[in-house]
Amino acid sequence: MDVSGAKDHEGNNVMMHGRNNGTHQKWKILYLDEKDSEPTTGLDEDSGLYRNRPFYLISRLPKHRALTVQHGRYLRISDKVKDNASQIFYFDHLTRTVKSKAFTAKSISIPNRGRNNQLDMETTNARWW
Amino acid sequence: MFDFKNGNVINEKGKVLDVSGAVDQNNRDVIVNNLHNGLNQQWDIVYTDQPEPPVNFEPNRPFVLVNQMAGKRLLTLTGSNFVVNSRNNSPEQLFRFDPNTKTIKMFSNQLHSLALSHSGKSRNLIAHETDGAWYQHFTLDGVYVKNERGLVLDVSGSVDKDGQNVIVWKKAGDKALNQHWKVEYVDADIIQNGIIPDKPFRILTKMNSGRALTRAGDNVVIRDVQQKNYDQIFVFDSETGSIQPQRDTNVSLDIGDEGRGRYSHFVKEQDVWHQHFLLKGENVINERGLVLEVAGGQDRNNQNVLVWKKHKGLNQKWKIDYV
Repeated sequence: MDVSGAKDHEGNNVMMHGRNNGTHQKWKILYLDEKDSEPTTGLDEDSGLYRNRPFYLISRLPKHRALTVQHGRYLRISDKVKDNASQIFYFDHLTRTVKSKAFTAKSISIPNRGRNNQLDMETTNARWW
Repeated sequence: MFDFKNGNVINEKGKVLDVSGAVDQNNRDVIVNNLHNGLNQQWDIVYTDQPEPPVNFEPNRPFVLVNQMAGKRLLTLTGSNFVVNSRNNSPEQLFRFDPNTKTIKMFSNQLHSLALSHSGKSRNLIAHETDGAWYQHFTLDGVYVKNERGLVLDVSGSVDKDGQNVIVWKKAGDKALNQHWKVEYVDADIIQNGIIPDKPFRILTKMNSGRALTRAGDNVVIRDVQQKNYDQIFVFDSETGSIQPQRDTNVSLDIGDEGRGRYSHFVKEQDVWHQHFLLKGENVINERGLVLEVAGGQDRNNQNVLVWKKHKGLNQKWKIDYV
């Protein structure tokens, strides 16, 4: 079993291929009853964010506006409104992305595979962008 | 994938979340950019299960501070001291929060901020030249106006009467209304004295003609009001406390001979005392007390405007007419 093209990204195909001893052909069996329990809460020290704990992201510009998802896609600042799901985000420890409470299938993402300088909410793909 | 580090939301390529163009407006795009650590790239994570952070004053928006004892008196500057007084729509009761210095400035003197006297060694509250030191830093924390060391504005002795002194004191519990204040944002146009910063105006004499103070070259004269005469339109520069022609803010109204003379003219803006003017009552008054007057009380076109000791004459009385 071979991870196609040795590309280590979410959603990549797994195929059959001649053995070449690459790490993309090596696997480890992890029995569920032996697996260390992976934390779903608490601080993720690598990202500096708490796992699955909803937050507002507040700009330090003088008006202290909140990052806001508009039209299901665009990221803009606007006045903070308590409990407005479009302004609430959380760190998803499984995909290591910042997701929106209003659009849980999407993560903060740089469009065009990271080539733009825009910022959008895009369907979660867990790639670097 | 983004991490939160030192106030930046940063990805593995070193790009950070950035409010486009550093424009602090609703619906402004957020983009990614190279890190330069401007304020537009700095963020705070506020978890929804945490208590709401204190709401600070809105930057540069005029407000009055209303004490919550029964009299609902307003924080008021008298001389260089602070008391509570009944509402009188004077600039001595009007303030704005300056985000650059993190101080509360007063409309009656834009160069001064609310401060603890004796460089913070005293509990008395005064107006002092803005220097941005800790004893001038105040924030809004619910009903309290709090300084960096946790002391709050307090009407001395809980005495609810005009002229009662205002100090800072330790928080005294939820029932101590002498420490409770309400910020009331107001339209600066309501004030009857002072000059609204950065809003164009004419200065009209209260003599019969109502002529306008006019820049004539470097000189200052009165002339009939002309709608399209831009030499009659000025702005008050809140940064320097000076009156400047709207179309040439490099110069300011000035007392001649570096303040030793009695004539007024327009010269290069220098932020010096002989260029600091305010409207007080009906007088346009310099920081050291001389007032603008129409020379000899002669109400005619091209009559000079000079500075003189204050008296009761109509030729020293002016009206600010915002345009």
